[in-house]
Amino acid sequence: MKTGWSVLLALTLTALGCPGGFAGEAGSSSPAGRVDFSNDLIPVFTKAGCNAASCHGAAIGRGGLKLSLYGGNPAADYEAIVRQVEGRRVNLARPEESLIVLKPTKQIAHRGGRRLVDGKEGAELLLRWIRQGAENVSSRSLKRVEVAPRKHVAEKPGSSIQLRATAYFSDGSSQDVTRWTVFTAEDPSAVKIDSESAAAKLLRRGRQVVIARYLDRVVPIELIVPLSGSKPDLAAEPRRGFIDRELLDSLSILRLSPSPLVDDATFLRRVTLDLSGRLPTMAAVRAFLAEPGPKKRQVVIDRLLASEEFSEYWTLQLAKLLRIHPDQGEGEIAGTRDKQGALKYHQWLHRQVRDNVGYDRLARSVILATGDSHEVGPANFYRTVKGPRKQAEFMSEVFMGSRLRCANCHNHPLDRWTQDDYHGLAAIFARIEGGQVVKVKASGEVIHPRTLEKALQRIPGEDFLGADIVDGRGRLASWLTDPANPYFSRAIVNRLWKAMMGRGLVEPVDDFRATNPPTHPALLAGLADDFVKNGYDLRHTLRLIALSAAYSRSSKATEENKADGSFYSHAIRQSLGPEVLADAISDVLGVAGRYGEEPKGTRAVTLVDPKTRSVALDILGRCSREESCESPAGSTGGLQRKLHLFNGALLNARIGAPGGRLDKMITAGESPLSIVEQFYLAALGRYPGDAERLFWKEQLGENVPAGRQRELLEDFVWSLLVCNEFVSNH
Amino acid sequence: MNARFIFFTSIGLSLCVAASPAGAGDPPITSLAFAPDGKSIAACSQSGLRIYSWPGLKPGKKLETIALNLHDVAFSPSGDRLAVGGGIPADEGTVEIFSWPGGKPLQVLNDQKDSVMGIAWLSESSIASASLDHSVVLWDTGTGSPVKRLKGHSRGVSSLCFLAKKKLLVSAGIDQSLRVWNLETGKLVHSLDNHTLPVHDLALRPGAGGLPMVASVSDDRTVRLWQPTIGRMVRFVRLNTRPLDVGWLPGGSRIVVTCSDGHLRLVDPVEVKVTKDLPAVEGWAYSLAVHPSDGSVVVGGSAGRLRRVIVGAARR
Repeated sequence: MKTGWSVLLALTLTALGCPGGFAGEAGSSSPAGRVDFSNDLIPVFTKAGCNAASCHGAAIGRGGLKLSLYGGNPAADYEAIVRQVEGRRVNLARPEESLIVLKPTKQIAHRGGRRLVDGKEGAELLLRWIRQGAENVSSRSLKRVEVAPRKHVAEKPGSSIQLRATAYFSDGSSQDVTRWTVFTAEDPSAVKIDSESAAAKLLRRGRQVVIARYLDRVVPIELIVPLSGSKPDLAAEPRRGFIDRELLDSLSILRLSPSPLVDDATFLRRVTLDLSGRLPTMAAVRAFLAEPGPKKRQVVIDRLLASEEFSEYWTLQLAKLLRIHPDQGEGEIAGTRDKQGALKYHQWLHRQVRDNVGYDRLARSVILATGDSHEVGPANFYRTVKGPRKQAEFMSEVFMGSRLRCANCHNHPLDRWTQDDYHGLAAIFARIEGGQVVKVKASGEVIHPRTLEKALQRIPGEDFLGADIVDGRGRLASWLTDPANPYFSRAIVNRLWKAMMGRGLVEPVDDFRATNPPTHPALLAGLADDFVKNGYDLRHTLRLIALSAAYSRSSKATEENKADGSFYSHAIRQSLGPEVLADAISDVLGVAGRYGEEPKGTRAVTLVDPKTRSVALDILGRCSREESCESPAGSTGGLQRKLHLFNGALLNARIGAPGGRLDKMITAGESPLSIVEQFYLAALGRYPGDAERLFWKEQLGENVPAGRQRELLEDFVWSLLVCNEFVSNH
Repeated sequence: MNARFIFFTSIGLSLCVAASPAGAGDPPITSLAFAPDGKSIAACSQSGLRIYSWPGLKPGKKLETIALNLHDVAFSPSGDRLAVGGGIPADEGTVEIFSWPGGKPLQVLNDQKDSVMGIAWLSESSIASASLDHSVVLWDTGTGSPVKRLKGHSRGVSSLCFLAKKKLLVSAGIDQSLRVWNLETGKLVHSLDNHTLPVHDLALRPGAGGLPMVASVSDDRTVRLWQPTIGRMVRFVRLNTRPLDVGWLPGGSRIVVTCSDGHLRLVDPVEVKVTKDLPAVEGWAYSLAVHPSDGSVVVGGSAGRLRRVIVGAARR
């Protein structure tokens, strides 16, 4: 507990607007005035930037001194400062001559510049610690850090808010540590932090995140300036469940008015693409638009969820997530591509989706798989990446949405993961032999780079497994799929949300961490809880999202919400994926695509091998699945895709192909306007509007010479297929 | 068993028999060297260069040095001088030479830009110094001038080992390498890179038989044995802790290693296995010196700790 004097001091400092007064003797956390290396000095180094990645916290250190990143490993830092190079950095005989004092105060040359001011609190604390013998003695450990405020809504840009941090220790004591807490704005152009006073000034409208770091704890702070001056009236907006309630609540705080709901045609095209990866057929569009009744959207969602097309498309989605691709082989078979394993894996995955197997069971199946990967599909999970460390990274990204790989070299600077977690998880996978026959080995190890010893098997963030456990995957799978696991269900519902809404509640979707908070924490938690309660049923969550009013919002931004890119005030227009677009082009043109040696008529979304020969998919920017398909590097497209669509053979060679849709219509003698209408239905899922009909009537009408009619109709189809409305889901 | 040795302790009864007084805030003893007569020992630290009695380890005369940090101490081949390497961190490297046994300051050699971590007498009139500024400098002690500067290490150099008959100098450093230099030409002969972390110390096997053999210790927890003349690593042993300093027992039957757990370990250089593991000091055991005849080793450690450890045999 704080002493009476220290409380008085803290109150006085607070009253004077000087946060961060230390208890005890100035600067030290110990009532006896002894400086505690871990709890007092590490924050000084962090605040001064000494252990940042750009300085001594770099992987190889700087100037011969290597500190743990942001002080994540105080014991190693103590050793580096006090023990290494025969203790030359600390001079116990003449403390003021210590290198660790002279350098940061720039009394001698220091490439990092002056980080501490001689005679000021940080430098004095350091010097006092050396005078006291430079010991690594600590009477308490940090339990938690609380930051105030965690969320703040300011009225307008220019507002300032005082940030404060309080540390709570194992001995029951607490301390205002604002002075030594590093507050960092994710967007420094939007929030200016005064590092001395810890005041945050909001420079523009929107939601901003500030990260508070004290010792190894990081806490996000949400600062909001509403995007408009007046509060919108959202009373009349439909609320079909907790999704709409949460989203409208945040829109209310941000003073954003949502776009209106879409018409039936737009909804049908959107939901059909999202759930089945296909365009609605002409017949489906006509029937849906002709059908009366308020329940028809629900009916079409259920029909799509029950369709084989859904199973094919979501098998593709999960195959990308699991990176199903033919193994490249190693050693003597290097370069050979084992398509048999990938085929088995894909077939197994398709059955799981078709039979609506719970996602928890799916995860357990792949994690616990053993056997001949040519016979046992999920065993190929262990042939996806090479080596136990890569397997640990892969598993954590897929099933936890977390990038554990940062913890390979150092404790994760932005999250809770430690090197023990990373190498302990890798140690579990080190026991698995990942050749064609996947089996548990009697031995197998990874060396912990810090201890240079065999890493002990460990459940990330939890416990080490007993040395007697050969195969730790059972414990891992049970922990992962436990309803209380905070990562598993959130990671998958966030991916489902992104697939339907165009943006994850956490972005990137494989980067869940304390310093990357969701835009809507309660919504994410609600979706995850609902997912668990409903048997980890993918269809259930997709249905829930599809039925929300939020899903039905127009992608046309209003004047009031056009600045919003994160809060779902309007739908996010999404480019069609390469496989979906390739199939859509084939469907509209009535000319099947060709994919390697696959039978004619094969759809791109059903391909097992992501490297199946196809110029179309190359142009459209497919993912090879050798790396994550969720990273920007995982797919290509962009300008190349657009140029090929405009000028290349992908469209031009197929638009008027004999036997294609257009050729058949022209041969059948259909009128140009009938052809226009049918292509609008096939490609855009709607009838042409009045202005569009008039336009095409003028372009393709009676005045056109007979010899040019076909050429003009081909131009019409080309223009339809390169327009943004076709190549996107909107 | 060599008849010239008598055992006054068995292997199982190795023990610490004397210790110097130490204070918790004292700096670590970074280097030790027995006087040629074996009756005293020179120990250096940030507190300076102090002479202790042997075997009682009573503190005696203190020699005043210019350098703030001292890292290596060595007697000249004839034993009439004592050199200590050190410097002012990140500023200057120095080699200070004193008369022995008088302790009179004779010379200061300083042409390096960071602390000298290792020194090696090459003759009565030349000495080499290894610095954290990445260089090794050969000095003429007659003129006090640098003669050659050996450049090759990409990071600080921590230790030197002189192979007199071959006119070769071996250096080791933070860049994880050992480098073998021809002293006549100043050319690099071999670069040996089997270590995977910084190398702390080197020691030449005593005795005349076979190719010269050098032991090295590194943060990678290995003790490696090298034949520098042919540029080959011969064997290695991996310890369960970090070795910091290395020496050989007289005759070369065992390697002696002090470690970061405060222990002293004996390693059989043929079987490459640890044959004894003896607690020596609390904290890190930075330094050691093997007595030329009485079968004991002195270990220097954290907080100025100094301890005599009997490891086996004494010369008659």
